[in-house]
Amino acid sequence: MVKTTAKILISAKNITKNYELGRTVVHALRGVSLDVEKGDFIVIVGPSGSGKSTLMHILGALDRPSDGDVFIDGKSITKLDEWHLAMIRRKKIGFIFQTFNLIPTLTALENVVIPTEPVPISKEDAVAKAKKLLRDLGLEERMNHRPSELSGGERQRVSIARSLINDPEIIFADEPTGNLDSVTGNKIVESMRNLNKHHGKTFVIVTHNESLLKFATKKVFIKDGKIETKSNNNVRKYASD
Amino acid sequence: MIKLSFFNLFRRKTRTALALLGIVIGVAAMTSMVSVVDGMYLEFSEVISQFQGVMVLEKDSMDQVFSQVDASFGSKIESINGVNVAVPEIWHLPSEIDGDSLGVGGMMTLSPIMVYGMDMDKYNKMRGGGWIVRIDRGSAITSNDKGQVVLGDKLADDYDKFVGSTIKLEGKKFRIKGIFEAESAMMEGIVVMNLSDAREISGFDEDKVSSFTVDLIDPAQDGKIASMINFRFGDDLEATTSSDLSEQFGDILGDFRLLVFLVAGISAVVAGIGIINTILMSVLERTREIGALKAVGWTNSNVMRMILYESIFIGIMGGVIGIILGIIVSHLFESAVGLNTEVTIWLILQAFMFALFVGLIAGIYPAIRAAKMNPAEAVRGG
Repeated sequence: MVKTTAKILISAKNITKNYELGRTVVHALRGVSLDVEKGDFIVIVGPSGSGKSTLMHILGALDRPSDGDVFIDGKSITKLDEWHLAMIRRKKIGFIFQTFNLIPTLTALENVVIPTEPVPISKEDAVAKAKKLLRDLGLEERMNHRPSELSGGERQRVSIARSLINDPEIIFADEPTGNLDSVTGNKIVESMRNLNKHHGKTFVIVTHNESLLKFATKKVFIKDGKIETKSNNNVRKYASD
Repeated sequence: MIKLSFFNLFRRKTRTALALLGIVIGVAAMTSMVSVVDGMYLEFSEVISQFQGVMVLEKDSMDQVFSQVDASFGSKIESINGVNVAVPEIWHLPSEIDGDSLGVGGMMTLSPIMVYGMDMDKYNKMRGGGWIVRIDRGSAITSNDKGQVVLGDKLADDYDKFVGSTIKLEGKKFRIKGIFEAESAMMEGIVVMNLSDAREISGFDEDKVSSFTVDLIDPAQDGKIASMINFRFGDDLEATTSSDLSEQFGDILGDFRLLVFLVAGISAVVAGIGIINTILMSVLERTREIGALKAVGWTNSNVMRMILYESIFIGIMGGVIGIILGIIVSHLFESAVGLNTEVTIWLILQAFMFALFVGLIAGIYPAIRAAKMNPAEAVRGG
């Protein structure tokens, strides 16, 4: 069941995404519809190649669907140009990646500040905000270290702080625990859940790791480019895994 | 963003250094070579500035050395109103000094060894001063000093000559009466003697001379009097003013300067390709980072700017290092080869702007490639 009272932040309607690989057309998504509501902690689970990352990219305005429509705050983004999509990402969306995608030459603090570079806020404010985020995520002592001097869990927390610096409503995480051991991975997801519960941040996590389902408020199972099941409460064993 | 771009260059130090090397060599070559051309121009201007008046050569001859005119034109030129004196001269390139053959190479240097014979009585009547400004040691020769010469200081030093010693030119011995301090490299190797002595060693006919230096009552009238000479004796003679000469030489050196810039331009294209390669490789290696930057809201133009800063930094660093190296090479030209060089602020600015321009242009293609990356593909590593 889908909640109807909460504000819908993102709504995907009958999304398809096709890639051309030489002469072959790969159907990554085949008619997917999904609503992301404010306060959701959605975990999208599916095997490799199921289309979950593609769905995340389209929901997060990083990519456009081949067909169907995506609405953010009720407005279609499907036909927007690159600049407008970048503005939506800047103001409304944060991203966390499996490989962290941090800049190795910058310190943890500088990596967190980097999304604010093109934003018209003072450098001091941005740094103060970044420091607070890193402190909240337990990285107070590691702020001036480069990514190569940080553990995997610390790097992922830096990337969480980076995703939050522009104060987005919704954060997408692509396999956030994929490069971490299970204990560290759980701590990372707990940090996200905390942000969800106490700061009202909406999360959409894409993973093949079913153990993350226990944190979910909404679970989505995806296979072969189609959503198999959406559920709100009951944790279901993913059949094909 | 500027800090990020700057640090990005130091991720692959060797690669950046190689890209830098290309532009450093280009800028250094440009700075040093143009400094030589500018030095030559300054040198020539100094010589010309010592001479005010009109120079008369055989029509269509390239240089005094190749010119031969009737000596009788002297009195005809002097009959023109406003002419003070027309000094007949014989210019000769000696084939040997003290029995040592000079060969043709002597002519190709900036301070060629040359015999300059003239009518001393007439020379001493000149109001504007002549080519030989200051006798450093000994004294000047007069029309009575047959078999005696005055030497330029470099020639005297090179051949260990001093006042009172002798110098043998084309088999004839001359006594050195004086040594003059040359104001420029072009005068350093001159041997000044009486016209009759020069005639004897050069084989000039009795009624022939190389040229005339025409001294004027009012130097400001030089253009007018040169036109008059050309009008009256234009079939045989060609009169040029010092400003004409300066202009002609300036034109030649201007062309040469352009040539140097073109050569430097070719090296810049090579350097530019090096920069394109370096930045492009670095962009492709950083696909995930660029994807992440786009994911967090950087626009295409933000990404483009970051990459352009990187190539501009290479241009700036290459420009600064290249200019410093060019100045060092220019000094080496001066101290080791003896060329006069001139590094002007204008040249430094030109070389710097050139490096900056190459950096900027070379960055455009990689910057567009980075800006146009599909963010969804880029975050996955391409």
